[in-house]
Amino acid sequence: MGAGWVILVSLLYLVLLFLIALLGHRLAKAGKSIVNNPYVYALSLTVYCTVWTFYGSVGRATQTGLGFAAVYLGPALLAPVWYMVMRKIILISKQLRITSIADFISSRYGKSTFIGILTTVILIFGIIPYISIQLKAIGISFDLITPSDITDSFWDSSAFYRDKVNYFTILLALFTILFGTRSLDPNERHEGLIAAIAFESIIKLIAFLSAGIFVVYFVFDGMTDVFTKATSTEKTFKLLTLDTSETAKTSWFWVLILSAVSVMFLPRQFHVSVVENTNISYVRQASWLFPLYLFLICIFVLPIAIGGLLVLPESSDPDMFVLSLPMHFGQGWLAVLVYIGGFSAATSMVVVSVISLSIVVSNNLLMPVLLKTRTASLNGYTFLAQRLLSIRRVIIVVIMFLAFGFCKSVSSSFPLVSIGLISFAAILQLAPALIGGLFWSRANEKGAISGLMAGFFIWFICLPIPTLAEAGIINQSLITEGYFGINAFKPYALFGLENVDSISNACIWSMIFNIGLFVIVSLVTTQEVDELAQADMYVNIEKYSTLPDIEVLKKEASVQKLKQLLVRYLGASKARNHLQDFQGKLSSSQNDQASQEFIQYIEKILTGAFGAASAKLLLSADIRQENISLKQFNEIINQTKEILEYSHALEEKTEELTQTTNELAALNHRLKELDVMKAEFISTVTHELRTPITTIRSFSQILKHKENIDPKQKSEFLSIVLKECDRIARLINQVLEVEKLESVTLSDEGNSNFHNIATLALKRLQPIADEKNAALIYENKDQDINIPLSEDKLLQVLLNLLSNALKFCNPENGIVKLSIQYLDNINHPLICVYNNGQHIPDEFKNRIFEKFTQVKDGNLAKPDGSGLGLYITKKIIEQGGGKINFSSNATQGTMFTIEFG
Amino acid sequence: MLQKRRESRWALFIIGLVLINFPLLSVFNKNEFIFGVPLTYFYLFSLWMSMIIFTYIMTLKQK
Repeated sequence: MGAGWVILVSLLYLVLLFLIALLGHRLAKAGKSIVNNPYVYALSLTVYCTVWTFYGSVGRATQTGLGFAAVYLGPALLAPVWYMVMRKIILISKQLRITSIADFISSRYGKSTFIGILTTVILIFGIIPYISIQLKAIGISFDLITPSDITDSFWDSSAFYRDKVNYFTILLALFTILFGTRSLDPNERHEGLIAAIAFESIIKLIAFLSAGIFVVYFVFDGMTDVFTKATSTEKTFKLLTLDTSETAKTSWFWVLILSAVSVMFLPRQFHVSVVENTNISYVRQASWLFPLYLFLICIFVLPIAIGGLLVLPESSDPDMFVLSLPMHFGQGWLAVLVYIGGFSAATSMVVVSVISLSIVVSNNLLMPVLLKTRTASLNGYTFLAQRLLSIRRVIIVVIMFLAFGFCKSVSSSFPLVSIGLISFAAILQLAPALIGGLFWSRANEKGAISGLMAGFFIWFICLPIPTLAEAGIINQSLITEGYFGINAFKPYALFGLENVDSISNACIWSMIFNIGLFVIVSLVTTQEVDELAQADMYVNIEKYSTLPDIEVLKKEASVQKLKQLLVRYLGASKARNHLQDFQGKLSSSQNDQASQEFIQYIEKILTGAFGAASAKLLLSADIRQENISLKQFNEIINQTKEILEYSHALEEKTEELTQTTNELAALNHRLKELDVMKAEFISTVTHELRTPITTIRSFSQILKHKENIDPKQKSEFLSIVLKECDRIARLINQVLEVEKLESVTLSDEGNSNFHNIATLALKRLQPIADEKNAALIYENKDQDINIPLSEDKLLQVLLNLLSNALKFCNPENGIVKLSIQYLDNINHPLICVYNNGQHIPDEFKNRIFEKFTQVKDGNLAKPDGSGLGLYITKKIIEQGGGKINFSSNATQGTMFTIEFG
Repeated sequence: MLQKRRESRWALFIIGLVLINFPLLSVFNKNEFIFGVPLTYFYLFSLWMSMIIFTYIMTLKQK
């Protein structure tokens, strides 16, 4: 494929990216953001996958087999807790308008300028080699895909103008400038950039999966085929298992740690996950989407590595197998796709890294250093602030060419991954100060400085310097003989630590000194007042984020001066916009004394634009901070805490009160229900009483006024009157009984012999039975059965049930049967009352035991009873600890059963 | 409730940490094939997928 053609494709791809970015930016401005959703957020995080992943993984896999995967397993392992850490970091960053990782750390330790500078230096040293491998990969992939002029191979080109990487560097620098320095946004958000990054993430995944599917399913015959063929040569056979040497095991562990840390704290990761975050809940979705992306991009790495080793000539660069395999089989289009995938991986990493580095360098290194040295000249830093964008553009170009230089001089002789891991180890140095700062409020500036410096120093002597030596830039003897010829100072086996690889060696020693000094120095020294406020905020951010801004330190400043300050640093129009945003609160204050809110507002704007440390320096001349002692400060902090606790207690009280109110409401409801029931009861009772009274009244009237009445009829009338009187008496008795039953909940315990009571009841009912011509049968095998009810109550129950049975039994040849037996043992007597009458209609079955339920008998026009009998029966039985049930059907009649036990 | 969720997240992290490292990893790091792929490959990728699935389940619980 012609070089010109490939260059054209690359350029067209960059133009496409730029158009996407423009579109993303426009849509975001119009309020229809394509960036504002968890999927784009998760895709933007995959800027983690650079050419290291795209090309380097396969190269790494040809040496360590699955060892390559540790870099991607680390983030998956971290996934469940990643959300909790990131949530905290994002909350803090939003609250304080933090725009870079260096800002985040320096802000935690009292907006320390020195920590900002230190972090920036570590980041520069750590990230530039990482950028350089992207350039290298673009270069060699370009050379590979355009093999026409072999004599002019990439690494042989000595002349500057003939070097393609050089042009790519310039191109990428321009591209980054276009993307990242369009305007100075106080939040450093770039929606357009994120849209482009997400697009690139999709491209690189598609490209890599296509290459993988091609190798596994077209070159070979599926996964099994690749792995089976791998057993045929020794070189590929050993890739199927992990190396179990001590060195490899240690390395596996440390790479997991390194990747878990880097995925959070690499400047570009911090930028996309924290600074560009638009909604904190996206982090939750991304916590599984992001590892899923890594999973997909890793599936085919090992098969491609094995395929490359089996198929390609020995001289091929393993780092380029992904590209050389399709080319080897003449798949031109696939090769172009892979090339574009790799190009995507490189450009996204370079653009985001360089933008975030340029923010770090300008805000945390350049501004503070220049501010400190030129304090006398006010115009000096006005110049600086207004030209911040130009300064960032210069920084971008410088970073790109430093990376280019490193690429030419060092990276060329190393595999991609080994340089990348050096960068990861540098980022690891930030972890103690950062994580410690998030969770340990006593961590202080001095501790952080000691830890960072020690860690950085050990990293520096253990990794970059010996790498330079290996590349032949400095004397190689220091690797074999140690610094100053001292054995204990061998960079790859520091203090005699043998049997570990260079990365683990550096990690172990740098972490021991970094964490050790960080903790010890923090414990033995005290925090400054400024620091305490920040520390409290970082550790307890949840508390702060739910409240309006709390500033524990009182500050004083003049409104006019603050306005001037804003105009001077941001330009007249920007300053006016910001001031208008704040106008409401500002106009209310008449005098020149700025309110605390206004001072905070200005501080935040400047922090967003220049970083926390620089903003502090800028404002230091104009804001007077109350000079208070540590003791006073602690008092203030405690007061704030007390207020918070008090409000918490109030909240609890309110909740308690709400609960009580609810309970009262429920009780009230119940009472109302009871009231309604009572009213119903009374109306039913009076109704029941009125019926017999009406009858009595009418018959009495007849008897009184009709004189020539037939004596036979007269006696009939009188007997009806008597019967009705009995009915009234019975009804009143039963109502009284109900009242008694409902008021007495505990039964007056008693025991009665069933046989005696049953005979009594039967004797009383015999006349009625005779009258109806019904047979009254009694079955009892054991005359000693006792029932846990008093004799009166048992008699009442039996009378009620038996008289009911007689009432409803078959009018022709009625049978009523009373029986008792043991259910299973002597404590479980079962009483049955049977009649062979009509069955109980279904509509009554559910409420037969309720008050005033009267079963309408087809034969009787008016039921003869109060409707309280069964209710009373049931109450009595239940108070005695028994159960009453019944079964009824048309053919067999009705049976009531009473069970005790 | 929040506390419980937090603790289960940490528990998952620690379980993962143990499963993914030596010495436990050695149990699955053998020259054997399972379902046509090497055991180590199978183990690491299944573990990986499980971590993703469990993390996903925890995001569901959050609601």
